[in-house]
Amino acid sequence: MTRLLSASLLVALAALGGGCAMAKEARLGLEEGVQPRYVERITSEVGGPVEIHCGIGEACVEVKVVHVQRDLEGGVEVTLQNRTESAVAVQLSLEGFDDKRRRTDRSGFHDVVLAPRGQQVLALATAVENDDVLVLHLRPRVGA
Amino acid sequence: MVRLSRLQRAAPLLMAVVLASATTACTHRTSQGATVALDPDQDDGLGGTGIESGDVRAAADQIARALLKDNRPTKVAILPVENHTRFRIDAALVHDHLTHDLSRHSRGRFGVVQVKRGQQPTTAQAVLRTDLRSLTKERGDTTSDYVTYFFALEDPEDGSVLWTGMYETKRRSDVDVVYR
Repeated sequence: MTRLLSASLLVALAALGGGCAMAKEARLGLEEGVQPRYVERITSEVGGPVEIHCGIGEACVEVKVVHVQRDLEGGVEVTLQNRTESAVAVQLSLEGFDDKRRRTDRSGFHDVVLAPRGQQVLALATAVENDDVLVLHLRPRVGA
Repeated sequence: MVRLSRLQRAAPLLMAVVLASATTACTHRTSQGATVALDPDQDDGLGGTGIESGDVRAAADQIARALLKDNRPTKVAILPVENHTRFRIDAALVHDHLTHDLSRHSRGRFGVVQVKRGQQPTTAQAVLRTDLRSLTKERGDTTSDYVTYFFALEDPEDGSVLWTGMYETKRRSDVDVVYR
């Protein structure tokens, strides 16, 4: 009985210490495997590369970034397409990074509402230089 | 009959307590309590069809960026925001965000003059006027609101419109909320 008690104490201590972090790391890794983060790299006609980041990959399957247009003055137009047969709402944020990965601009999140199978364009003026990497963050708009 | 020691008798209870503590320790460390801190760009989940914090932030961000891109550097006076919507909000929220975003994004290229209600902008080369308006429909418990945020950059001499910007939302909900 004393041995059993000692063993359970050890398990508990491991869980309270590094064991719990390891167990959580494994579980979250598994969850990310089932619902992976989504990162897509595309190129636009003008300017540096564009990366699309989705914390919840499913959102980027339902709503696709179909076109990104950049102009020489930092203007960015992002065309989104709703692939579902329901009206959907997402939020989009833009970031720019220079060649040393220093952030050059960061916008807030903007709501974009899309009709079933529809397209919508978000136009935003940015301070992102032409050669900078443009990062788009897409997430569902969670409402009541 | 074998007599159990005091430790042996308490062992099952001790094990249960220890394992319960371990399980509790493995819950989310980053989860929140009764008061939840929210990202101001996200919906608060309370419902309603009116002006949200995300709208104030997005409108100011979008308009400040567009205004700076489309206009030559100048000294802009930001007039107090006129709120004609049915939503009782502090319109200075929009005014303050606009002032902040214009200053932040222009990096000194644009001068920003704040004008109090009733004051006349004296030194500005352009004035920025902002009007909030809404269109409301109701059927039973369902309400829809179309809200527009209209921004006009005007010449203070003759009132001619130099540039305009628009931000708009339309929402429908069965949940009515009160703005305080």
